[in-house]
Amino acid sequence: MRRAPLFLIPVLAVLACGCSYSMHEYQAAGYAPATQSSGPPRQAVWIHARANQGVVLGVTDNTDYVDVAYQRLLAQCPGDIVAVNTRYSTKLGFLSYRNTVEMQAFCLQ
Amino acid sequence: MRRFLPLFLVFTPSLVGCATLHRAQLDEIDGQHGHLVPFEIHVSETGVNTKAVGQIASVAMRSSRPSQIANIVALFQFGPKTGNVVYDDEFADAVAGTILERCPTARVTGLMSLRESTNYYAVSGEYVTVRGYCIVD
Amino acid sequence: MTKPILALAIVSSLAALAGCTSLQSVSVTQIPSDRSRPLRAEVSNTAFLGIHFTNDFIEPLTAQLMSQCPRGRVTGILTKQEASLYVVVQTRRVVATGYCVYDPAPVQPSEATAMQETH
Repeated sequence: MRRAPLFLIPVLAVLACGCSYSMHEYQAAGYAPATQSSGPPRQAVWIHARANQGVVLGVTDNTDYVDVAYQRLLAQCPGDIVAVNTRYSTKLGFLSYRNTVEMQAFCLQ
Repeated sequence: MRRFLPLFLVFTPSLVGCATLHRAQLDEIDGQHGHLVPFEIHVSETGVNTKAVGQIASVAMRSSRPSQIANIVALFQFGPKTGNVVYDDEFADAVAGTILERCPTARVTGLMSLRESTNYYAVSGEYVTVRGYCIVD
Repeated sequence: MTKPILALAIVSSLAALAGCTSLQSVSVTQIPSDRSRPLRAEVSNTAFLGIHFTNDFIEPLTAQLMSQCPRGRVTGILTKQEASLYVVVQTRRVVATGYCVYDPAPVQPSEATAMQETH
């Protein structure tokens, strides 16, 4: 076996450590209140929800993790939810990957 | 010098970069409640094309070994990809807070969210751009 | 030698039947506090080898949501665009869920003279 260049070995280690991602989409939307658009200002609190899906060899039959993240966000706020920022990304791995949907929003109380 | 001209013509565009728009989304636009002041937020992360890095290293070292190593590394980067691979997927998470810094009253409308790339063959700029308007009385 | 091949064939077949479903796009709008009337609409389109000749399958989606919320307002919309691959057949699907809200009627002016002046 020919000697591989020494600098490639740490590069290979870094690239193979499972810390690579693909950023698919980011959406910022919904800053207008869903209801009660007039009246006194309301207190806003940041809420955050995340859901993952592990996939091996690309075999999966659903995207339910999106609905799970959405329901987790709703469960944190009984009032209006505005300023919804949604991120969809994938953590890449060895013949497998993990999809992630993360939502940040304001809960109006 | 003439024999290098074709190579120059082929590789010069890569210095400028190849721009790609992956996703575009537009939120509602409400111009009824005041003057609209535009803003733009632009965040980025460096993307890496592992196979292209291996090819460049193979050409530079006149050996196929870097390409083979790059192909092995690509097995560790299995999955759906938009643009090139990045090493931090949270680079856009600060956008939510930055929007409120630009519009402290949180009266925001006309948000356009873009996911873009500029590709320089082995590396790329992976961008998230959010444009919108602050509603000002 | 044939047993490993048989096992691999069975696993591959099961994987092919499960399919490969991926999320193409997701979007969320503002969400109301009144979530008593959930809505759901779905459209899909299947094509051999993923060769689609039209995107018209998406058109009924809005009408489906609106029909579930007559004279109301549809908000809190979560939209998912999926693609599923089953060996040689691809299915595109767009699912939209939301909530139907009926805004309270605007308050009428209390003074009768305000109405009379317009006549």
